[in-house]
Amino acid sequence: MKEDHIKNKIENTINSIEFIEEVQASPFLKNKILNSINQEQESQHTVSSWLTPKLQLAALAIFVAINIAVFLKISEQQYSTEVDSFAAAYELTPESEETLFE
Amino acid sequence: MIDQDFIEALKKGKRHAYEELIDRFQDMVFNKCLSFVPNKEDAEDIAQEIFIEVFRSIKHFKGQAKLTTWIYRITTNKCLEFIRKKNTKKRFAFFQLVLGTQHPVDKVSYFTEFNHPGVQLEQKEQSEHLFKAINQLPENQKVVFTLHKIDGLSYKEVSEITQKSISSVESLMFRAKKNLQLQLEQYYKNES
Repeated sequence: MKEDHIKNKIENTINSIEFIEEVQASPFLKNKILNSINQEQESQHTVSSWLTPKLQLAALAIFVAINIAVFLKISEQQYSTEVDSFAAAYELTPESEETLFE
Repeated sequence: MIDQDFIEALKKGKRHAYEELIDRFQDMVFNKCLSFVPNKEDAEDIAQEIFIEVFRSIKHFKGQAKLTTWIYRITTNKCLEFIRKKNTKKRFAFFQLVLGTQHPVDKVSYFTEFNHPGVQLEQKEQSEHLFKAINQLPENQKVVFTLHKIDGLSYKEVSEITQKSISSVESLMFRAKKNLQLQLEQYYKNES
């Protein structure tokens, strides 16, 4: 008896789907959406208006030029001199090594 | 029938095309949102987000699926994203409850306040139980059940939206029904 009652309840609950009606969206929804889309468009526009492809290309060219210049300027010799002076400053050279057993 | 010119106008960002898109789809999107999130205010917020997503990604729409199917897919994803976020917040609220803050338990049991405008008053309680049980299902079963049973889509349409084969949709539907029955049985046994 109790089992049947529960079965009925389950069936009715699942069948309650059939009674769900289609509803209409609020008349203000369209305006809300259009406003959000306008804001989105404006934010895209403000970025794209000053960051033109020409400017992007120029920025890229400057970046590459600076990198090439720095690469050519720093020779390998200079690099090893800098490494040596760094090692000397921090007493990392083999001469400056001390052990407790000496 | 949605023609290519209309899609091109959308891709070019024409305002009249967007207005037409909203006119054509707002009721459908709103109702689908309600099927996943049975709360009027939440469903409106998600619907708004969906149209913004359509606006953002229409340039990537290649026309392999129908525009309706594509919008359906975005709708499903946005709703699931919303549910996931809300469930995480509720879990956090539950921990707060355990740690001694003031939230009552019944407010942390479901991710939203049940307020479906398409549900009649006499069906409200049963529908509320059903939606809670649906929310307990694994995500793929939840999607298939909602699209097929609540939105009334065919298995073929569900398979196009979920990008699964019809046989796996059928199998998910079978498991969803079985799990729902088990959950409701448990609920009504505890209740009586």
